[in-house]
Amino acid sequence: MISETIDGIVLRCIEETTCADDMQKINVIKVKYLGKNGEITSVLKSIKDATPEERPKIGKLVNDAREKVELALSKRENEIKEQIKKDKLISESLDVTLSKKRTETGGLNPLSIIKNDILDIFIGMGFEVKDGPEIEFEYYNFTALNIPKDHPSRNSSDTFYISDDLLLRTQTSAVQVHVMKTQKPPIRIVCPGKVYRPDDDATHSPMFQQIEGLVIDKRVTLSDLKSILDEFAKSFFSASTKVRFRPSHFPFTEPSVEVDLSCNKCGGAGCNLCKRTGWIELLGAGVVHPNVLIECGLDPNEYKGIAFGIGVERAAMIKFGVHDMRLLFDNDIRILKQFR
Amino acid sequence: MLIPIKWLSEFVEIKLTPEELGEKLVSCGFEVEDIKPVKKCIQNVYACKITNITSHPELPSKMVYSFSRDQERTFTLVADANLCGTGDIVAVAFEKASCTEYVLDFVPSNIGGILNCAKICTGKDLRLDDAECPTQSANDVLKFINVVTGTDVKDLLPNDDIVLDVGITANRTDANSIYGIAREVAAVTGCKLKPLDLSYREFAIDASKTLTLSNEAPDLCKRYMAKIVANVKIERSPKLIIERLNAVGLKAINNIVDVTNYVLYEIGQPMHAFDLAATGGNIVVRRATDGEKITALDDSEYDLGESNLVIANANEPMAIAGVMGGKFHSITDDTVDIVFESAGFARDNVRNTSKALGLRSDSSARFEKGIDVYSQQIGLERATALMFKYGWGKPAKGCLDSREMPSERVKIVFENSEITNILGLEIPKATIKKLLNSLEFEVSVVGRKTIVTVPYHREDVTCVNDIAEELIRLYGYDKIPDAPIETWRLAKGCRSDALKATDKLKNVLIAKGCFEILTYSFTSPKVFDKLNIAEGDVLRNAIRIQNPLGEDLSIMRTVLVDGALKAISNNTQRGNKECRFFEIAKTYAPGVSDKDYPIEKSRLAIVSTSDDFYTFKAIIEEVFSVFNVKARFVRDATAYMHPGRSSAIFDTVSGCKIGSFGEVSADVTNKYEIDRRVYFAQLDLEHILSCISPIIFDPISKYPASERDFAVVVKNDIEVGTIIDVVKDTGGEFLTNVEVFDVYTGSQIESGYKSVAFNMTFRSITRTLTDEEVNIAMSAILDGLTRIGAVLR
Repeated sequence: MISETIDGIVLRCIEETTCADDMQKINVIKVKYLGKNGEITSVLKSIKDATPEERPKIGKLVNDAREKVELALSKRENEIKEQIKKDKLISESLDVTLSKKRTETGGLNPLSIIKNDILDIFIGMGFEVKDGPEIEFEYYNFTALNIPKDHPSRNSSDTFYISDDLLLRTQTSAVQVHVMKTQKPPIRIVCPGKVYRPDDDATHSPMFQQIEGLVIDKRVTLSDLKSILDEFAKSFFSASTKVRFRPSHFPFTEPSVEVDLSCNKCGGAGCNLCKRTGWIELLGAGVVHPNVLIECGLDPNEYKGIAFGIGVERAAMIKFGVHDMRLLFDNDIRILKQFR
Repeated sequence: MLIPIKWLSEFVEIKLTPEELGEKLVSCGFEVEDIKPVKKCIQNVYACKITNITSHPELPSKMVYSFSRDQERTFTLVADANLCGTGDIVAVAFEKASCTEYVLDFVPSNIGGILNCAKICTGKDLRLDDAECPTQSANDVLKFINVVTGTDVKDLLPNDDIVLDVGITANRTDANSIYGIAREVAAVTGCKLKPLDLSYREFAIDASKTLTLSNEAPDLCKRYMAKIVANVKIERSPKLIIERLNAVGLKAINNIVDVTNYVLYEIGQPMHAFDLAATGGNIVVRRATDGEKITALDDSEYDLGESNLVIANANEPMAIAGVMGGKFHSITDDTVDIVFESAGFARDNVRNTSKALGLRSDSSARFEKGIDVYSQQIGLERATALMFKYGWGKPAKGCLDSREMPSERVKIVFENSEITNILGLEIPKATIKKLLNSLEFEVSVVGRKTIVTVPYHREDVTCVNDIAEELIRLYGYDKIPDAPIETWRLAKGCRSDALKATDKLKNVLIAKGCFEILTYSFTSPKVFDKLNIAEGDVLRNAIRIQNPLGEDLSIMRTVLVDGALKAISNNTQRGNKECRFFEIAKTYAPGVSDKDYPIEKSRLAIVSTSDDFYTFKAIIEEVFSVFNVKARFVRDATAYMHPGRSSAIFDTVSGCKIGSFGEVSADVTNKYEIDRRVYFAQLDLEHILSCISPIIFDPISKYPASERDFAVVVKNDIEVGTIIDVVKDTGGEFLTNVEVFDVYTGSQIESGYKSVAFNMTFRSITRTLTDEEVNIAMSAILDGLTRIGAVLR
């Protein structure tokens, strides 16, 4: 009799549980059947009216019923929770093709990139980095570099003057003099920096950057210079780049050479970049003139020197294919973004 | 320097094509900028097709030739019979036709009722040689086959010559001439250099024709030579001279002027010819006196002064030395006797005079490059020889020469090992002698020493390094090995600490979205007004460039803001609205005295149109955080900033100002044509970099932190910075961080007041803090805040 009642309760409870579709309903069912005054609890309470023989039987029936109901409820509860999770994920799905405004990363100036590249190559060969003043005394920029008083490069058409003695340095070679006068050989330095000359067109800027290199030691030769620059050319452009010396003239080096690199674009076959010559003129170099060594307090019989000067803008134009130097000073963010 | 190959081959045999010759010159140090043909100098003569030939209606000996100039135009001319046949294409000269600067004596006319508008030409009419004509003989009418009617005849005739445009480096003053290049070509090709023809006969001339010379300025004129050529004939130069002058871009004038120009190009020595009568028998080389004037050959009058050198007679200047002759002392059609001047003027004085007077000439251009003392004599003799050769005058006996003693030739003594030590390769002894000899250096060997005597024209060669260069440029730079460096010791190469720190700074800024820009170090003096910088402000004390490219680039900048705003302006005007830039560059200020270096200070500038005040400030604070800069922001009014949005930045340790930042005032951005708010900061780079210290590990606490939030209400004019300072000062040893997360004004708060909400973090490195400990700290903070009028909300 009582077992039928219990079975009926369990059946109803499981039916209701199966129909429940949210946690609230589950809780209502829990209270209705398992709560303090719930139907199953009530059956247990009625145990006091039963005979002592029936009591354990009823107790077991009620416990079995409780377990059945709890199992059904917890199963349904998990199903509902899973469903909620699923619904939440579905509701949170996004359009992955949509983008929002991002904080962009900035970038170095292309000329800084090239400058760093060049410096790194020479640092790797044991060079130290030095710098010096941009506004220089004519002594350091000219006289100490064996440039005679009446040399055309001293003209006001070739040099910016502040006073008769002071000028905007026209070459980072001026740093050489400071270093040679203060540092004992061996010297192996590269000096990057801004230099100034009164030119302004597609291939000249009144302000540009040079990297000067200097080696002073007991025995360095034009052949060593070629080896250093060969190494530089191979690192800067590619392993197949070749170096060519052509005779030239700079007052502070003797012999002086123009250094051409085999054209990286056409491999020497001839193209627009190299004006169909297969070679690109990149830098000037030479053996330090004995007069410069003497002026800086070094004995030319004891020490020899080699020096070179690289135009950073020219190197950048060649490497990046920029045809007009003025674009490198344009600071248009569309240009700058290309070099990140 | 233009080098016509025909002229060049007068002095050295050329077996090479022009391109090969160019390569040879490049290999020995002369850049070849261009190789171009020189066309015949023929004007207004065209190849035209004869379309019809008829008898002249009135003149029985003449025929009427009809010809077509092009598809549309047909003309007639009257000429002798049998010059050519119908269908022939012949050279026809029109009005004002000329060749080699001779105008053909042809004028259109009406001959017996027929229009004679052109002339059929023979080779001779156009001054061609037999070899230059497409026909057998220059006497024949010039006929062409398979040519479009109307083609310019000079395009159909062989080129006169080919010129090489050769670049000469500043040291090789001796090579600025045809003969100088011939000498190099001879050395580099191994051919023999032929001597110049300097031969002439001297004549006894009228004893009254005398000349005295006085050089009163030997510092500006190292040598002056003069020679009389008497009884000159003034006429047109022969074809050879005219063609050669044309080839180097000069116009023929008359034989005397042409000779001076010819010698200038051939030898590299500028020459001038005076009328002997105009000299009055006196030549004085002297500085002009202030106020002296001269009318030059260009018909302009020039004011002269102490710094200008002149060639004068007893009374007045006859020429501006090295620049231009005077109009009234030069050659005229009535000149009987001339004086050739061949001088060596100081190059800087010629340059300065030429520049000051705004007067340039081939002569001044040549002098500016520098001339050796030996050229004067060669030039004078060569000019005289040409006058004699063509029978244009009688060279007088002797010449005047201001130089008393010929200088000794330079001798260089060295051991061959010294050459090897410079070049890094050994040139055989015999080769050294051969190569130097080919350049006219005399070589003798005494034991291990080689003694080289340098020719006069090579003033650039003074030491063994010069000899090494002469050798290697002929021996070949391609022979220098690029062998691995064996003699080098291992050396340490590295970035300097400053460079490393700068790179780190750039990386921080790049991560914050800044692009590096590069702007000019010079700017306009007008920027100070543009930036509202007050009169008398120290920033106006800028270094001026004496010879700027323009007023806009005439001072060295004292602030970076101008360049930054220009970059922003360029971008925004091109539609690049969102920009965030930085620049690391110097500002410049005058030194303590003329003898001191000016003050160059490295600065960091940051500029942005993509931020508001606080996001921009966050970039600066992030830089300070990475570099461990302890800074205070203090309200300030920088001239070019919005007064309510401008802050000075001080180092809290030293109290020194290390920069400023803020919103650029609208007044200023308008002047730069920027229509957006711009934030700008300029910081002392050296200070930032100096704050970097070696990284020492700081252990992190294992114990949990206690966080507390609260909000206080303060008067509006109390800055958050002040509140934070109080919290930090009173918060005790465990307070590790204070952050403001909200500032509120509005309906909840009494007007004139604001609510500031904070988050504070307390933590100990040794233990977990008790509530009580944190509460004690909190009440101390509250006490502190109460003292500045804050009320807990």
